[in-house]
Amino acid sequence: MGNPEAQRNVDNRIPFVVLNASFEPLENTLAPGQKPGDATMVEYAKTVEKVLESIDGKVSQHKFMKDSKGNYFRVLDDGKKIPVDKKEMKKLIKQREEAGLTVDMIDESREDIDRG
Amino acid sequence: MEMWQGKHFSITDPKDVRTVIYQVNKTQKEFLEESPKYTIHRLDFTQELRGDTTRKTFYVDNPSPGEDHLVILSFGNDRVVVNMALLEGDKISISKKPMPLKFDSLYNEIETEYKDFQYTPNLQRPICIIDPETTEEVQPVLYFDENTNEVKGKCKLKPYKSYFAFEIRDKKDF
Repeated sequence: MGNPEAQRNVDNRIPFVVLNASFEPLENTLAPGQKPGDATMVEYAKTVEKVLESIDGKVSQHKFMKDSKGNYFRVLDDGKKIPVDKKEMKKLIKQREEAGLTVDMIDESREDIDRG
Repeated sequence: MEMWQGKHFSITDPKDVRTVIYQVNKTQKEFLEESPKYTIHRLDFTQELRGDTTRKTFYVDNPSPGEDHLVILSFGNDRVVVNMALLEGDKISISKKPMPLKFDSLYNEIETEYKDFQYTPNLQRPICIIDPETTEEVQPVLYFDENTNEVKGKCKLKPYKSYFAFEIRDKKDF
């Protein structure tokens, strides 16, 4: 941080540098009355294309499955099964039912579509 | 019959960077009286080490019919990179609409191993506190204060350590 920041009353107690998508430091100026270390508003400023390089960009879909022991899994396109926390799954099922969304998934024990 | 479908995508974390992603959910009008306007849900992920980098696959198990706003936090050495992303259909892109993020730094002048920090969660303003070293959330523990007859919260925070906290609010609420 150089001299221009000192004139601007920059909050430098916060040890984290928040970068915008162009990987340049965002200006973190204290509002009147705030002291170093106080919360400051950080606004996401701009977007650049090169940030997308860190994201594969491809979004795939997966279905869900319940096995005979009542365990839940995500089923990917290649058949791979990723376990899902039971408690989390029950919470999601409840949310989706309240929103009127389908909770149909594969029931391994019946090899049929079943409700969670 | 339409089946429940989730979505997933991958990112690559360079060495010494750990990324966590939150899905931002807007509460439906009929539930606004008892719930905050926005809630966040931390995405589950699996990871695969590839030399010095880590390929992480994040799962959006409850995608919205339209678009989903995601908050991407990448914790590194003494810094956090904050990105917003938009998940729509089979595409994910960085959002061009800035979403204001407010964060706090918490500190204590008395040197102790850990200090109980009074933090009673306001259900209308859920604030997420993250330990940047572990990227784990610091969850408040609720207890009943017999003196004041109130349910209060406290969470253990280490003095002189920085934490990252954020909440999602509408710009007009500031």
